[in-house]
Amino acid sequence: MAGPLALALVLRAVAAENADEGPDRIDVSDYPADQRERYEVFAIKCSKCHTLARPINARLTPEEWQSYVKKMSRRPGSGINEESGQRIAEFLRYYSVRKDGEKRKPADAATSGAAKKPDPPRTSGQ
Amino acid sequence: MMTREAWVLALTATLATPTVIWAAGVNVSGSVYVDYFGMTDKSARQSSLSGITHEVAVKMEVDVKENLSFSAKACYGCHGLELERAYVDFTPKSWMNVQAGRIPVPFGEFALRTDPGSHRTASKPLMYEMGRMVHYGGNAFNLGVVPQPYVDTGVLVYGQTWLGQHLQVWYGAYGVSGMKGQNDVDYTALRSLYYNDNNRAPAGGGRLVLNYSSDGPEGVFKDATLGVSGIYGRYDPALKLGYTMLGVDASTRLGPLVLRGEAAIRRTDIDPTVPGYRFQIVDPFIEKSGFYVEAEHHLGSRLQVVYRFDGLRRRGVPLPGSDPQLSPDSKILRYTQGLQFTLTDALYSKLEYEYWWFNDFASFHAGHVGIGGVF
Repeated sequence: MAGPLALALVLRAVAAENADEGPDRIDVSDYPADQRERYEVFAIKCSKCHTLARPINARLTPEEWQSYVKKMSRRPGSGINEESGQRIAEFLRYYSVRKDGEKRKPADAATSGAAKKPDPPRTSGQ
Repeated sequence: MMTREAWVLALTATLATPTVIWAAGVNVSGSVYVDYFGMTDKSARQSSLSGITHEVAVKMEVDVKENLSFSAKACYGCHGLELERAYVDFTPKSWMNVQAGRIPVPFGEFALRTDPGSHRTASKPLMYEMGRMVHYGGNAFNLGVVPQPYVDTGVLVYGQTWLGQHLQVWYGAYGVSGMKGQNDVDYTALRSLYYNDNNRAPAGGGRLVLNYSSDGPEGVFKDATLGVSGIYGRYDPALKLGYTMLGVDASTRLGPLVLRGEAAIRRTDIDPTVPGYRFQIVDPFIEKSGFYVEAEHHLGSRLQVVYRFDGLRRRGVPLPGSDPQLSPDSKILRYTQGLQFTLTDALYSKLEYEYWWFNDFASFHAGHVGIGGVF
């Protein structure tokens, strides 16, 4: 049972190769300078406990990031104070909006005039 | 009457129900990991969970109010279906919060990273290892110092305060059911049906963490964390046998390198009146101690490399029925070289080489290959 599952996962991975830019990190080279700084804080703090793929692939709304980061800041040794928590939440809000915008572009072009699809189920890291 | 497995299945089914996932204030996350563990020594293979193993976890968090949430996590792995945690988290103030239920006991830094999606190596450090250990049975090493994840029934009071802008102090104290057993700790009893306590005395413990935080882009030195943990309790029904666990941990980021190290020791009383010991008992306890140091860094955008050196030592008279090769001072040292590839969208693969050295058993080479995902 585990063999076919592993094979399926490998095939899924191969099929999706180059579908993203390596979601354990974000290429922020074309982001505004303040967001690049916030990304640094996000990458250092959040990777202490889990892979960055979790928040990067989470589908929280921009509003939900604030309370989620506050929750994470209570973890032992998080090193997330009010200021850095704010910076992390601001980056994740920016990233969520930007990611949604990038995803919508090709979809909009292909289905111009079509009704907007419902948002996907909301999942989050940790 | 529903069995524990049926309850866990029901919970998992509930977690997967779209109406729950779509509800406001409900977050669902989880992970899957499949691992193949192979080794060159036949006796090691026979005393380990070599071959293919898996771990599946689904977690749900419900924000009931701004300062009250519920969290539950169901796992399916070597132990079968398991309600790994289920607790309410009341967070009125940053300096005083309460968790109650089946709580993750805060012992050591690794306790935050027990999910396979949260640590880079395929195996856990020996001091925290469970199923991917060799000679792990109760007649030999009997697992690590504190097998992780360590989840227990009880209450945790915790909080944090900041001394200035950079120094965070996190503290927590808890009372939990504690370890269980008859003559040495029996870890499977911790996951026994209904998670009932086996005696009337709770175990008590605490953790203190200091974190020096540096957020600026300048400099190579970023965060540094130092933590200490301790637990005391009694594990037998008659309340005659106690155990003490102490641990210290440190981690920091130095440029591209993440460095971590931990050490822990557990002294466990044994019952000298039990017949069948191979040696005369001098000290009526055994000591299990362990450590690990590791470094990890990125290599390109999709590959992470981790180097780890760890060890485990068991000192004390072998228990009746033990493997005849087990001596009163038995040691394991292990070197690990691991790679984690990020394949796509939170899908990763792990590849690992290990060299295991024993003073009582044959040394050997081992390897892991695994694939997993987080969401």
